[in-house]
Amino acid sequence: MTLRFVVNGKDVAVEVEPSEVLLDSLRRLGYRGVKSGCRTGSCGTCTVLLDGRPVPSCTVLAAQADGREVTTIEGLGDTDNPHPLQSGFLRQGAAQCAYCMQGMILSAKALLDTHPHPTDEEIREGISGNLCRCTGYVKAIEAVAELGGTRLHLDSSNRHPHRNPGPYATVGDPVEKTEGIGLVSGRAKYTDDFAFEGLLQGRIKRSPHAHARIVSIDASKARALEGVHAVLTCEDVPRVPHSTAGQNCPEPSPYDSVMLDRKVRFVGDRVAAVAADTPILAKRACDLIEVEYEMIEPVLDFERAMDEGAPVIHDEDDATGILDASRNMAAHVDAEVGDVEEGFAKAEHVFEHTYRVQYVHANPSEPHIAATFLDEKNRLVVVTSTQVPFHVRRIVSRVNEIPLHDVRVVKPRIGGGFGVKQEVIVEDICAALTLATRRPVKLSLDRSEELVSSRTRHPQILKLRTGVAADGTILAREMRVLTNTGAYGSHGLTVPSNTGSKSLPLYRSPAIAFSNDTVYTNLPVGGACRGYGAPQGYFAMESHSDEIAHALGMDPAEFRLMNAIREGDEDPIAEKLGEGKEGFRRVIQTNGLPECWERVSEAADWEGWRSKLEPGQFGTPGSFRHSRVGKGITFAMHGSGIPGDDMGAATIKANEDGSFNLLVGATDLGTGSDTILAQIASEVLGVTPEKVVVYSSDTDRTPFDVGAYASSTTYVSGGAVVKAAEMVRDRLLVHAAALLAEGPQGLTCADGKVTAPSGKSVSLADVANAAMYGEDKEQISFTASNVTYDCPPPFAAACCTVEVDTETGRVDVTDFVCAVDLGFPINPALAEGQIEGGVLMGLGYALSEEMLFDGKGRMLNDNLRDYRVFSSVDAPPIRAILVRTDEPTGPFGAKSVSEIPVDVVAPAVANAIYAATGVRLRDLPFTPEKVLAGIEALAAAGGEGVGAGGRR
Amino acid sequence: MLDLSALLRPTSPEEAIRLFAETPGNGLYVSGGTVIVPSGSPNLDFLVDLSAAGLDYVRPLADNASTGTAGEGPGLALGAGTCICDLARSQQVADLAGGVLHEAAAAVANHTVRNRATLGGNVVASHYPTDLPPALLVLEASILAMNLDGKREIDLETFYTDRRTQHKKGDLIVEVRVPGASRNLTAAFEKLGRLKLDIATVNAAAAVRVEGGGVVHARAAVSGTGRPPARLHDVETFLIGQKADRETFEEAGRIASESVDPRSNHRASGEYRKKMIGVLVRRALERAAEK
Ligand SMILES: Cc1cc2nc3c(=O)[nH]c(=O)nc-3n(C[C@H](O)[C@H](O)[C@H](O)COP(=O)(O)OP(=O)(O)OC[C@H]3O[C@@H](n4cnc5c(N)ncnc54)[C@H](O)[C@@H]3O)c2cc1C
Ligand code: FES
Ligand code: FES
Repeated sequence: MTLRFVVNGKDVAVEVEPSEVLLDSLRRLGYRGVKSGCRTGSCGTCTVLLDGRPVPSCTVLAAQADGREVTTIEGLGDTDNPHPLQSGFLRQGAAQCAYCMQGMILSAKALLDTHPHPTDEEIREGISGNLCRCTGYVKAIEAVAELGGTRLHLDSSNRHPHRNPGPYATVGDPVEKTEGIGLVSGRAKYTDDFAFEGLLQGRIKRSPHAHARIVSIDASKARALEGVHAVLTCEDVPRVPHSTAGQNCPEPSPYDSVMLDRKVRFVGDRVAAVAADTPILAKRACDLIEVEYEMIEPVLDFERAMDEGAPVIHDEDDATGILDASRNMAAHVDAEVGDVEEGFAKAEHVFEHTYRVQYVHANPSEPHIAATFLDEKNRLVVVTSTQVPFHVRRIVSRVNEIPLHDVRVVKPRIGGGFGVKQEVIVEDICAALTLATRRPVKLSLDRSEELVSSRTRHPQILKLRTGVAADGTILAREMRVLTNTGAYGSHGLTVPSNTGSKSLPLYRSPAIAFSNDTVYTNLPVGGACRGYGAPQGYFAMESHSDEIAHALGMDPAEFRLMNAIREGDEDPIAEKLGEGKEGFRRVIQTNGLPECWERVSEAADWEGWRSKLEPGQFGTPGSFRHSRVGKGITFAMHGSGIPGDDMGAATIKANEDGSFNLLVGATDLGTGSDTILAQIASEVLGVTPEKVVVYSSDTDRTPFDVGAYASSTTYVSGGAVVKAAEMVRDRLLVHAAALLAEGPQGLTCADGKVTAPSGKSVSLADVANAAMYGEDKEQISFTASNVTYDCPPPFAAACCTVEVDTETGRVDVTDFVCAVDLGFPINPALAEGQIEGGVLMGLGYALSEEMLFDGKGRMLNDNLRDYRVFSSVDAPPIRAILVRTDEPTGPFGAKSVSEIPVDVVAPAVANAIYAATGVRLRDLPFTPEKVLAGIEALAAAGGEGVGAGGRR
Repeated sequence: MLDLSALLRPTSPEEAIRLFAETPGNGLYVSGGTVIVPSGSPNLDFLVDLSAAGLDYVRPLADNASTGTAGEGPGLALGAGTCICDLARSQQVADLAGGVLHEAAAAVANHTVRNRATLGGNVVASHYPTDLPPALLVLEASILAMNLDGKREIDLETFYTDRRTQHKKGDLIVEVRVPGASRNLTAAFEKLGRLKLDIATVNAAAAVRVEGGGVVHARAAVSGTGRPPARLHDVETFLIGQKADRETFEEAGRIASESVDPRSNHRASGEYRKKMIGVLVRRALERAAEK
């Protein structure tokens, strides 16, 4: 049927299929700013204005738009003529990956059209259909409020003033992202935005069973279907055991995966792959593949996985690196410093508690997607939404048995990663489909596949035991962990190592022991996920800290401060745990924790609130009859890169006009690392950031980088940029010296010129021009790489305020303050964005997110209606505070910021719920039902708290 | 993903039912599409789109039969194709019975979905559980349905208790009628989910008329039990003649809780729902009485 409508003021006519949704028609017409995120009306990335109103275009049948007017982000403005909302979002640093932002800006536009001066609440309501996974909505709301001329919703006294803290020129500035308006006008290209001639659609047939052997597989009907170009089963692809984890080689994860296997190990595991002309044909083909399964009893309870006689999940004989496949044990970690038993014997009190954390998903706005094709030289090109292009290249080449030099991996803009894209789970098989068909193939996961079949945050059970002296000094501590890695062991050793190595060093103790068993189950696969094991460890440890403080009758802040690690301290447990093997000696050189706490305590009025409580009283009255308010705190430290393991490299080349090309392997996931690296280069070279043109993440054209993980990019890759920039600068100074007829000593490079001690100066453009066209011609270009052994930890303190509905158990977070000592803030706006977004992700972990399974291992809530992440109306005001320390080992004093905010959240919420009600919850997430059960149990036990005398 | 062979776009309700009857295969109506399009139901052959069928209106009920007695003012006729956002925005809706329908409409999904989601879809797709049915039930709304045999008005409660006979394939819901009598009531809606913006674990609405401190009329309804949205007759009977005070409403909550037997699912256990129905009904009653 013919659809006639008006798009951005233009009359358009297009043929559409009856099932086609408006999202697809618009993208087909070239309006690529309309993004596909869930296709179920739940995420809002596909938002367009239909007759002026924001709607999810994935739920609108194309024909329903007949005769109507549609506005897409492209209709609002572009680089040359941006809409004030687009420039406002960019200026405020509201856009991270920006995958959600095209839609959000349209919602904001519609709001301002009807409410020119919206309140905070109206703004939150207006963008409530646009879920953002990167940010805390804070800056987007500010951008809209600014344009509406309404009061900024946050008390700016607690916020970073966004003035450069000095003493640098561009480093420290809240520079706008290098992508510019393109990022918020639909121009920025994500993987799905590349057009290829003759493109085929890939699709994976997935297992409906948790544990089964494939007896036979008959693809003949699928192959016979017209428009189907390849059907791959385990018989058609190489069998190369590998780990899908994007880690340095050899990976510290077992080689327990093959591209397609004869066995399926979880509901959603790969069975076969198809390439066809259209998505619907690919789906029909998958449905036509006939598979005969022999069912095996699944292992669904990870506490039973190691039992005698439990079904063996990895019984294949070619897997390597599995600790003990016969007992479903993927990995084990053990470390001890001092003698814990001796410490416990000496202790006045010993506390022991067990905590449980659930399956959650990083859930980036853009699901996994890759496109592969053969270039004019028949080399395989992989365009993919990844955090680790160089690891993708290595793994794709290995599992497809083609030479590494025949593979090029390019990462375009990506719609968020958070760890889940540190994994090779679409590229290998997409490449196989291209190799089989010799045609371009695109393979994207739908939201359900993303949730079920990509990677998750490992569930754990954590037992903590702590011995303290009478005054509260910690004498011994032990953490024993059981980790569920699901069907495959990717990151199954290193994630739990980090559970201990990131959290345990925070408090001094003469004796610390850590152990972990990682087991396989027939459930979705664990992987890297923002925080990498630390959020699990911190939930347990910082809940435990509170429990100890309360038992001792101490102020929870005081207990923490007296035991916390100090500047100059060594950190033996982190050294022991390393990254799957013994690590490196670490001495804390900068520690802003006391200042973090001071600022948080003041901003959250911690003392004031506590002084309102009678001894033994829980909670203060809330905004309605049955509500109680409480505040909870957390401290944390994290790391900056993997010491001795992470390597980042940068190439800088000078152009004759005094501009530079910065080529980095580092991957910007939306975090703004391209911008930050440009700032670092420009600082060293004495130019403005616009003079540094960044090109990143292309294995053919940029130097190596491990990729974006472990909070490493600013610290590790930034260090490489400093080195390369210094080399380029020194070379430029040689040419400048000749031009100035002065010695190179004492020349400085700043403000776009080179200045001699005599005061004589020459512009950098003249120097660069002379280098290229003058007497001594050369291309000034240097590559430097950087590895560090220090891993300086950022520190954080947080305070969460909750209001608990004591009749329903529902917890409303009404305020969250988080201060991070991140070293020197290279870009304070982007750093705040990391904190706000990390906190919001942590709130989902604490309160709403949970992957739930039925008795057969099928996920029950595999969509974003039922797997609930925080929307703008659920999000509290998040107040990010940047605490500056100058880390001597980091570029311009920088450490890191992106993961630590997730660490502080769940325990702060747990502690706040306790403070409000007297109910201690040790089992994430705190659903209303669990909270209420806690309240009722407390009442039944006649305990102190809301149930009993708490309603004073 | 949907795999349709036809999408039909009638311009009147009459044409809609005719096209539905004439088209071969397995079909459904589609209105806002926020349920049916994401469902991606592979065994649907056709959809009859209602968005151009003229079902988008909010107007006073002209029909004599349903007009209230003198002094009550007319009821409201709400076209099934009216989007939830328009219900949430309509002054006529906000003015009715203390704005219960406005509250329920504003609680549906999010701003963007509400711009598409319609009243008809919300009433029909009540398995979710959706938010409008409890509010409509306490207002004793009815449905104007239509098929090739003609038009019929069915009260909403009957529609839910006897859905199989009341709602056959191809039956079109033209409008929802709220009687003028509801102008003498005040009513409130309550919803509980994991987050503010969430599908309800349970939801409830209550309507009362209080005269001289006593309850003279009461209605209560819930959804989210794993069964169709339902009136709570035990609660209603109890309330008549009681003093409109806290004890009464607490007792009403207890009765509400006792009178339901909700199912468990991934959102919550049946036991928790049972308790929460008591809490929400009590809260709705308290707020309704305060209005
Ligand atoms: C992210 C998300 C969140 C949601 N949250 C909520 C929520 O919080 N509360 C809530 O109540 N709902 C929620 N929903 C569900 C849904 O959006 C609403 O219930 C909506 O009102 C359905 O209306 P629709 O017009 O989109 O239905 P459609 O998808 O068009 O139709 C739904 C069903 O109703 C039938 N139908 C529609 N109109 C008629 C008619 N006139 N006559 C006969 N049959 C008809 C269709 O055949 C179909 O079977 C949510 C949906 C999404 C996607
Ligand atoms: S893609 Fe349409 S709402 Fe998510
Ligand atoms: S910026 Fe919102 S999802 Fe990335």
